[in-house]
Parts: sequence; C-alpha cells; structure tokens
Amino acid sequence: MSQVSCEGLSKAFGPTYAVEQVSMTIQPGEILALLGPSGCGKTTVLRMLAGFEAPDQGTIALDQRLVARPGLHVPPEERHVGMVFQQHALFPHLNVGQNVGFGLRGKARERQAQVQAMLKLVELDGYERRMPHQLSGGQQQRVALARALAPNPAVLLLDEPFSNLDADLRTTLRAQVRTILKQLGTTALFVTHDQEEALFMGDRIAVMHAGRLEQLARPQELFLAPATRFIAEFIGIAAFIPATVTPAGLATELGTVIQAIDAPVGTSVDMLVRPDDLELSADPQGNARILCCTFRGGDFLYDVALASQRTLRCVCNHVHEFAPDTRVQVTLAPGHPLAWFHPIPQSMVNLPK
Amino acid sequence: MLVVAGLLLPTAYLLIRAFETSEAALQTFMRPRTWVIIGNTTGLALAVTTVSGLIAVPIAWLTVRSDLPWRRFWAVVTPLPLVIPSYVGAYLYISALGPRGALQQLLEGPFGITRLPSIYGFTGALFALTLMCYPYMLLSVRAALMRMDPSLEEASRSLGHNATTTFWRVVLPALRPALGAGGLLVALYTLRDFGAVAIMRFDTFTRVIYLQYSSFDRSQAAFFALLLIGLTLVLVAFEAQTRGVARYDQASGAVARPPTIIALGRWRWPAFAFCTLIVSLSLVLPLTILFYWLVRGLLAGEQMGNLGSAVWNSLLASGGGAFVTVLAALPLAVLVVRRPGRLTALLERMAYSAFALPGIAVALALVFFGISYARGLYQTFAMLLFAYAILFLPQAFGALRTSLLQIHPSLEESARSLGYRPPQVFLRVTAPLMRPGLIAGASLVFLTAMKELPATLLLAPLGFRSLATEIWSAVSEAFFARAAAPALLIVLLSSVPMALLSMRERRGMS
Amino acid sequence: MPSLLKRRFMLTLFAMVALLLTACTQTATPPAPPAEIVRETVVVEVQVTAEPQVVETVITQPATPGSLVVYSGRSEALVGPLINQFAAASGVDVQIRYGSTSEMAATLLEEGSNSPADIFFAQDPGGLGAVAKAGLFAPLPAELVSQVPTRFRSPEDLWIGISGRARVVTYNTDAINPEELPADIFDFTDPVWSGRIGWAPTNGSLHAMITAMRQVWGDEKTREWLEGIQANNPVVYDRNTTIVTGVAAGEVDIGFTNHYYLYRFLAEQGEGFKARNHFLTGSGPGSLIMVAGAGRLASSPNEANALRFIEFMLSPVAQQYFASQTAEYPVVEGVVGPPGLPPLEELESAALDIDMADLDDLQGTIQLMQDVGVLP
Repeated sequence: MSQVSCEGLSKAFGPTYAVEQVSMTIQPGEILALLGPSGCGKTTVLRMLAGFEAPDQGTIALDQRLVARPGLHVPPEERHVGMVFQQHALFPHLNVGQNVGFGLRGKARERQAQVQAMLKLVELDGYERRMPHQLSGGQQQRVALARALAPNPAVLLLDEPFSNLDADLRTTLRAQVRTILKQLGTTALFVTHDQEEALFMGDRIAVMHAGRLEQLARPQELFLAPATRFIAEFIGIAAFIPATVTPAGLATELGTVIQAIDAPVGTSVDMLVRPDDLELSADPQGNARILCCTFRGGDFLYDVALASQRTLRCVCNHVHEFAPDTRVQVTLAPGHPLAWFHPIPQSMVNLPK
Repeated sequence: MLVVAGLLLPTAYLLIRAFETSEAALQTFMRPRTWVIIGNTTGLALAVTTVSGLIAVPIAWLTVRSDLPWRRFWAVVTPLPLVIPSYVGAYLYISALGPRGALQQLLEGPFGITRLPSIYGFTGALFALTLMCYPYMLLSVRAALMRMDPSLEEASRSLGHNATTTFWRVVLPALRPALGAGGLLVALYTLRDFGAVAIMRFDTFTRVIYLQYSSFDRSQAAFFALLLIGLTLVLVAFEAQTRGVARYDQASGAVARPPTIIALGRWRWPAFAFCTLIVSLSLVLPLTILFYWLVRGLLAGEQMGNLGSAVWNSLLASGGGAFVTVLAALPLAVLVVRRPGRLTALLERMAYSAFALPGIAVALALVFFGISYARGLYQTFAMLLFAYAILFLPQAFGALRTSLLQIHPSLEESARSLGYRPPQVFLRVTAPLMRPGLIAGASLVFLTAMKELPATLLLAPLGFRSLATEIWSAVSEAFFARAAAPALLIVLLSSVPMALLSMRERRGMS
Repeated sequence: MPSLLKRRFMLTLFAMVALLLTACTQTATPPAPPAEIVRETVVVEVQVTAEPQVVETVITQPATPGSLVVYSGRSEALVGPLINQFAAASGVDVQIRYGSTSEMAATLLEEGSNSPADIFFAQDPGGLGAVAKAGLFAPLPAELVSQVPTRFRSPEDLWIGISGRARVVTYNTDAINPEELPADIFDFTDPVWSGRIGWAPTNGSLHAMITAMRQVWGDEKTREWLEGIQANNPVVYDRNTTIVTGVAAGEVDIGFTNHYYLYRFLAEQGEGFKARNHFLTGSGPGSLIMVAGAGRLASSPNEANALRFIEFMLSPVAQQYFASQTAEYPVVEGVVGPPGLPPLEELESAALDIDMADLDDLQGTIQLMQDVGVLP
C-alpha cells in the first residue's frame, strides 16, 4: 500500500500542452479513476507516473520518494509500478506462466509459487502453458493483470484495460478486478473514458478536460456538486435553466427555488437540473409539453419542452405514462441544493462549436 | 497456382537431368572430400548468418529506435552494400586487404609491413559475404521493429526490467520471425554464392556444381544441385522450427503507436563509430577502390562507352522484376500466414528451394522449359521477369510474411463485415498495413535483380545490356576501369530508390 | 541465294601515319543491285616494322542482308567491336548473347534443335567439343576450314579455330630473373617452387592444358605433375586475371596462366605493373596454344549469314584485330602476329602438334584432378 502524489505536472508535445498543472494524491489502498474524454491527457498522466514519459514541469512522488522532477527521471523499471495495457501487451513468445513470472526475481520455486498464486487469483489456474494467442480477450486481460500484480507493485496503473472487451465481459471483469484490487489492498490508478466504469471502479474520480484536472472527488460529489460546467455535462444527464438571484431565492421559469447562493441579488446564473430533480404531473394547463418518452425499465425518461422552447429531461416512475404532446406541469423538487454556474457570455454561445 | 508451378520448374528440371547421371556422380558423392565440402558450406552459411545478425540487429535498432547521430543517413546507407555484386565485392576486398593489397602498401611506408595475414579461405569468405549479406537481415529487422507494439517494451519496463534486459527478453524474441526470415536469406545466399567464395578460394558446394558445368556434365551438376536443394529444405525446416509456437500478430487491431526513441547517452558516439566502421568496410572501401580504378583507367585513356541503354535496361528489368516478384509472393504469403497447414507449409518450403540454387541451374531450367513449352516467350523481357520472380521470390516472401504475421486477421474480418470483398479488403486494409514489408520486399528484389547475372545473360532478350552484364563483361577480361563505371552506377541507381523508400518509411511512422 | 553469297575479299596493307588505336571509317557506295559494295576499313597497329599499318577487307552488302544470332562465350570487351564491324559492313542484323563459354554451351545443349542461335563463338575447344558431341553443329564448307591448320579445327569440320592463346608462366619481376625460369613446365614440381606458384584449378584453360598433358605425357606423368605441383602448396586463384594481379602484387612469384591478360594490365596500369610473361620454349604441353573458335548450329535458319560471319572472322581484318587488339595469335597464315610476342612457329615446335579436337575429354581431366585432390 503506497501513496502516489503528483504536483503541478505539465507535459507538452510540440506547442500544445497535453497535460497542464495536474496535482493529485492517490491514498494508500485507494482506487482512483482518472476519467475524461479521449485526448484529455489522462493517458499521458498515467505514462508519466509509470515513467514512460518525463514531465516538463512538476514532481511525482511514490511513498514520499521523488521519482520525477525536472532533472530527475527514475526509469520505469525502478519505480515498482505495475501496468495493465489496453492492448494487454502479453509477450507473444512466452506462455501464460512465463508472462506472469516475467517481473519476478528470486528463486525459481518462489517465483513458481507466486505465478500459481496469481493465476489462482485471476481464476486462470491450469492455463500456465497456454500461449497468449490461444486465450480469449478476457483471459488475456486477466493474465495481464496477474502479470502486473505478481511483483507486488507499489501502485497499479490500468490504461483503459477493458475497452477492447465486449460489454458483458467488461461488466463481470471490472467487478472481478475491483474485488481483487480491494482484496490485495492495492493502490491503483484506473484510466477510462467511460463514466459508468469510473463510477463503478473509483473510490474517488479525477476528471480531466483539455489537459487540466477539473475535479477530484467522490462519485456522489461529482454528480451533485460538479466543479465545472464540463463535469456537469460529462457526468450524468444535465440541463441548465437560467435563474436570477432574488432575495427570496432563485427565480426560474419553473418558479422560485429556495436556495441561498453566494452571489449578489440581480445576478443571472444557470442552474444545473438533472432529470430526478424534476417532477411531472398531468395538467392540461401545465407549463410544458411532452416531446418524447424513453422507457428505461424502472422508470420513464421524458423530454419535455417548456414555454421558452427550452428542453428538459425528467424521470418519472413507471406508474405514470404520458403520451407525446400531453400537457404537463413540471416542478422543481430537488431535495438538495442545486449546482449553479455563471452563464456563458452570449458572444461565446453563438460561436460554432 | 502459376506461381507454384513456376517454383517447381527448377526442381523438376534438375530431377530430369539428374536421372541421366551415371555412376560417376555417386562416386563423387561418396568421396570424403565431398562431405568436407558440405561441412564447409554449412559452416560458412551459419557463420555468415550469425555475424550478419550481430551487425544487422544493432544497426536496425539504432536507426529505428535510438537518437543515433545522423540516424536517417545511416538508415539510407546501411542497406546499400547489398547492391555490390559479390563477384565484384570480393575482388575489391582482395585488392584492398589482400596480403599485398592497398592496405599493405599504405602500411609498408610508415611501418615496414611487407605482407598482411592472408584473408583467403574461410575468414575472407566470411568477411566478404557478411558485409554483402547483412542488409538482408537489416531490412527485415528494421521493418519488424517499426511495426512492433511499444507497449510490449513498456510492460517489461514496468515489471522491473531495464532497457537492456528488455531488449534481450522482449525485443529480440519478438524480432525472431524477422531474424529468421532475414537469416534464411543470408544463409541461402551464402549457399548459392559462387563469386565471393571463388575469389576467396574457399571450397563450397557451388564450386562443385560450377565445376561440373564447366566440364559440360549437366547431369552431375543437376545431381549436386538437388543435394543443395536438400540442404536448403533442411535450413528452411530449421528456421520454421525456431519460429516455434508463438504467433506474433498484434493482440488487437488498434493502430500501434510509433516507436519511441531511446536516448543513447554516452553510447551515442560509440554507436556512431560502429555504424561508421561497418559502412566504411562494406561500402566506402569498395567504392573507393572502384573510383580508383575508374580514375586510373580514365587517366590511361580508357574509353568508357555509352552506358545509357544499360542504365535504362537495368532500371526497367529490376523495377519490373521487383513488381512481378512481390505480386507473385503476395498470394503465397497470404496463403501461408492465413491458412496455415501442411500443404501451405510445403508451399513455403518450395518457395525457398530455388533460392539456394546457383543462378545457372535456375536459368538452365527456364531455358529447358521455355524453349520447349513457351517458344513465344523464350528470351523475351517477360521471360526475364519470370526468371527474376522465381529466383527472388523468397526475398519478397520473407518480408511479406513477416509483416502479415503482425496484422491481426480481425482487421481483415472487420473490413469484410463492413461490406468489402476480399480483394478490396486486401487493397484497402491489408496492403497499407503491410507497407513496410512490401517496401522491404520490393527493394530487396530490386537491389538483387540489379546485379543478377546468369539468368540475365541466358534469358534476357538478345542484345540486352544491363549494368550487371557490362560489369561481368569487363571484369571477366580484367578490364577493371571499364567495370568501375557501371558498378558505381549500380550503387548510385540503387541508392536513389533506397533513399526515397526510407523517407516514405519514416513519413509512415510519424 | 548464290548471288547473294558471292563476295569479294580484298586485302591491302599500307603505311599509316597516325598512331590511333582504333578508328573505323565507313564509306557507302551508291546502290548497285543486286549487291552493294561497302568498303570496310579497320586501322590496326602492326608492329612488325614498328610503323603502324592499315589492314583492309572489303565486304559486299546484299540487298536483303537478313539477320544472325550469335551465342558468344567470348566476352564483349574482346570481340564486341569486331562483331559490330561485321554487322555494320555487311548490313546483317547481328544479335549477340554474351555469357561464359560453359554457360553458353549448357544453354545450347538445353535448347537442342530449337535453339534460336546461328553461331556459337566459344572461348575454348572444350565448349565447342561438347556442343559438337551433342550433334548440334553442321559441318562447315571446305573452302572455309582449309584456311586454318588441321589441328586448330574439328576433324569433322564441325567447328573452326579463330584465334589462339598461349599458356605461359607469368612471373613477378621483383622476385624472378626470367633467365632462371625452367623451359619445361614439368620442372615446376621441383620443391624450390614450394609456396611460390599460383594457379586456378577451376579454370577452363588450365583444364585444357592438363588435357593436353594427358595427350602428350599420358595420365601417369600428368598425375605426377599434378601431385608435384600440389606438393608445392600452390596458392589457389579463381581465375587467370586474379593470378596475374596476384603475381604482380607479389603474393606469388609465378603463375600458370594465359598469355594475353598481362597486356591489359600493362595498358591500364602502365609499365610499372610488376608481372611479365615467360613462354615455355622447352618441349612439352606447357606452351600449349589453345584456340577460341566458332561453329554453325545445324538448326540455324540463317546459314548464309552464319558462314559469312565465320568467313569474316578468318579475314585479314579480323585476324589482324585479334593480333593487334587482344594480343591473340592469328590462326590464318600471313597475318602479322601480336607485337612483342614470340612467333607462333617458335611455340609450336615447343608445344608439339596438339590437336585441339583431342582436348574435349574434360571429364577425364576433372576426374584426375579430383583424384589428386586438386579439385573439390
């Protein structure tokens, strides 16, 4: 169990920054999910932690030991960092046993015992003599995990390890991997672009956008109190409705929300509204009209249009079903303070994306 | 099917001829001396292959993966010794490094050395052949290195192995198919080479065969040539054995990242010195002597003649040969890699059988079949290209197979599922991914065809003059000055496409 | 046909002032059917009087000259210019395939009666003999063969010698005083020559000489000679030219080779080249004269042109070309021999009368050399 921390990491490829001023700490035994759209720099952060890239600025410390700062670059093999690759990267010329034992030192018997233990851990005992190409994708990834865990790394880095697997396998495998990591108490950094996967795997989630770390928090916190508009939109379903600060609360199209915010009266803000913050009731004189409806098993997800032509999505339990074009009354009933953001200046709104 | 039939021609011909042989061949065969020669030949082939590997792997790695100074320059220059015909190259080494060669004359003044140790025999043959053959391995290893998935190395580094151990335990084993394919070419080239071993006075099997031809006994010659095919098949089987059970295609269809460049640190200049040494010996030294011959000849008033048509013919024949050979090797490579089985394994071996044969045997086989069954094509340009395809197929085949092995079938399957027919899939998916292999294969054939002799002499259209025939004509009668100009032109002409190819190779990477 | 075949040869010798090596001038006379006459002039140095002279041959050019295919085992550097002269003067479309004599012979043997070739121009009698034995040559007319001494042609008139080369001992001028060299090649078996001899056991000319030895000496003495030379640890070369360079570089003191390579080195590298020829004037096969020759393929579709070609090769211009340009011995009487070389008659008395046609038992020679361990 080790702690990993980085401070002010920056890395540029050519004129553009891939990673800019990223600081974070992974606590011992914690699984940190590093989430972001592709190209946000999350893999670069991981490769810098592993030692495959040297940061331009900033420091990396493993258990208080500095492994990277300008002028110092501890090579990957001396960092004691395990890595699981997206492509598995199993050595094609070695069998499963040899792959798993690749990073082990010491006596043959001890190595053998560790290989066996690891294969048992990933439920692949008996596959020792198979060649990598004789395994299924999921099995290959489990071998890759066993190989990375075998030398008891201080920290395990996983680079989108499930992205090449089919959905079913992905779900079972991630549960299995999380159980194994928790069982061993391994500190891990898990890079993914899939928010569902991040929410499942991560004790905490770090969200990166355009090279910057935007928020590092527990999943619920990310959902309820996103630090940025980007995070609000990236995680979960989000809509924004304009509001004005009044002494009574926040005045919106859907009525006034009783919530005190740290902004002077008269300020215009955007309130983050998620589908479960809204309630629907049938009302021929209602303030909205049903556009369409998605049945999600446990509930319905409705797209509704307000008088202002703004579209919102709201969740309704499966007892009520509204046909399209039905008039309904939409009320805000969050039960928790809503996140708010300063509106995007009009000039920027009109810019083509 | 046509390709396969073509490949079988030399063997069929030799069988026909060998059946005419008398007791004499058997007697010659039974002599202990014959066995000594077989041992010599095998030993030389293995030694040349090993030393070639020792030169080729570092250079390939340095030019693909390191921050070697003048990396692109070396990448272009190091495969070039391949273009020096062995019958010229070995001669050049003798005149430079012989007991009383140019080096000795340089040393005699200041150091009073009147005689250098003899380079004749095994040492000389090994020296000359290695310096002329290592590019075979270099090219195939380079192609493989460029296609290698860098995460393999990263996995090893993250498992606690430093760059050196990683190289030995991960990179080198992953290069095994490339080393095997390249090494096989080197070994087979050594088996069939006649020029260099003759000049270096080392008795190998081809000398026995040539001797039979020069005493006009085609049957005995065929008998021995068949033995050579046997030896080749053993080598090919051996190579297949070392390839083992591993499959080297990339684990997924994701596009590999370009190779990462490793800083050499204090090894930068020693590595530079190593490249300089190899290129000096394999390229600069022979070229210098050629220049010297040229200048000496020009000063003595030697007429150089017009080489224009020879240049054009060489380019046309070698370019056409490269194209036809790659075209012929493609279906074979696809079949062998994608449909592995007993039949295709046999096909693969057949592909190599003609390669170790002395050119004269293959050329005569085509004479025999051409005159009887393809009168209309006999001694036409098409026939010459066909001969090149048979002679050089293994060169293209090896490179293609290696690059195909690294392309996962799922890529092709996904293209099929996207509604493309197999030929379209091949053109749009497989071929672009195989590009390094296609380039390496075609350039190998081009360079080798440029200097090919017996088939060109016997099968080209009447009056066909190429640079190689010009060299041959001059060297065989000791007109060295006249040989120098076409030899220099061969090197020059081959280096232009090589340079272009290397640049494209690099663009493809970034 | 006969009218086309009719041709006239004219030979003139006159003094020449310019010291040109080779210059061809051609003057076409106005068409005069049925055959137009072209005067072909070749300028050659004939150093018999130390004054360069011109030899001239006149060839008729028929109205439809036709074509001719030549397989040449002689290299282009040697015979190319001469064949080009023939083509230019006669108007015949001559197409040539060059290769080594053994390669060309093997090709002809494979092609059999389908061969596109009309003429086989070979470097040595062995190659001609092999093709003759396979029955691929047509007999040559008596008027042609009679120009050449009997021993320089096939007894059945299937092929004919065109130029001759002498076997010599080439020596290094620093190491050897030519006075001390033996006159009989057998004497090189003496142990004083240990480590000083260079030879090329795979070379066709050496095979021819050893075949001649077997004719003259018998197999026993030839074996003795081979064993004697082998006991002297000779340095093995791959061909004659490397022997000559090896001798000049001082790798060995003497080498068994053909006489004419030396002159090219002298021309290219100047008089400082440290090798010279020693002609073995004692009796014995050591100074064997070997001919390069030609035969007409029986399957040849261009009989007339084939015969014209051979006729041209025996003409004074061609014969003088060999003597002056390639330092070979002419085989037709009355042509001035190569400059600075002992006349053919002098060597002939030494070399006995060895019939070229008897030199085709190469397999026996190779067998003997293999038995002695000289060849692999």
